[in-house]
Amino acid sequence: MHVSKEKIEKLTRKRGISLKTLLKEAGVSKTAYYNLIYNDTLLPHSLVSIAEYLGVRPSHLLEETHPDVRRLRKVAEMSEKIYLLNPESDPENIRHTLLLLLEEPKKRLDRSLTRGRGIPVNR
Amino acid sequence: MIVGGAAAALQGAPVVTQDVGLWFQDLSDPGLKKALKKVGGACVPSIGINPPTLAGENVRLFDIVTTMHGLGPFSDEVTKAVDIPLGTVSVKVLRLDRIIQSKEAVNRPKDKIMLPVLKDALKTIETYKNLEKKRKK
Repeated sequence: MHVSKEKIEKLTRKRGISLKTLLKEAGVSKTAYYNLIYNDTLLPHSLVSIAEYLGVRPSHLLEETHPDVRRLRKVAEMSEKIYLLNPESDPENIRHTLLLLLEEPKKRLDRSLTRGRGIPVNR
Repeated sequence: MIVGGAAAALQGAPVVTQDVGLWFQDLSDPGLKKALKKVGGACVPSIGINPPTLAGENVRLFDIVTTMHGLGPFSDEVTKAVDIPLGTVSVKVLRLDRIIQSKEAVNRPKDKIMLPVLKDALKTIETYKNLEKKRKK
């Protein structure tokens, strides 16, 4: 697995910025950038070997460690699936419903009342 | 039974509500009076065009509902209600598809605004449950 120069170039073009600006704003030196680009793999060889043995891509073995990021990623993936099955639905409604389903019912009601009149259920 | 926007919110619909609508089978039930007395509240009977209301600081969030347009009688609807845990108790909540039916029948401007969100929420919940069922097989 290596860093895709093409993907980076595509994204910089999309945002209308130069590679020079990107590296400056990201605080990355040219040397560090070209080391990234021209390395065969950024992943430890041990991980690559394990993935090869299991017959999966190395990225398949990577997981987000931050619980909130993991949770939101799962919600985003599920939203996508549900939207494909219900294209007439508003994707925002799908996502918000899924986020609420992760909460306890009392919290859902608190949220609704707080937004409605600024008074949560306190018992 | 909890009805209206609060009932929808409890089931996961991303809606905003200002109160918790309560549909009673019988307002003259002595149990209601007893429960209200316990929390320092009281029931104010209907006056003119005004429906009955609840008085008291501890019950200010609650609104009495006497009629649910587009639905069957309380005794029918309560059999279709969902039981939702709230703190230490489980409460009867009008099912989301029944809430939609009622709002379609009432057809007030504020209900018309809420309907698309409720319908999307219902589809989301049903699709999610089906997907989870398939995943667990």
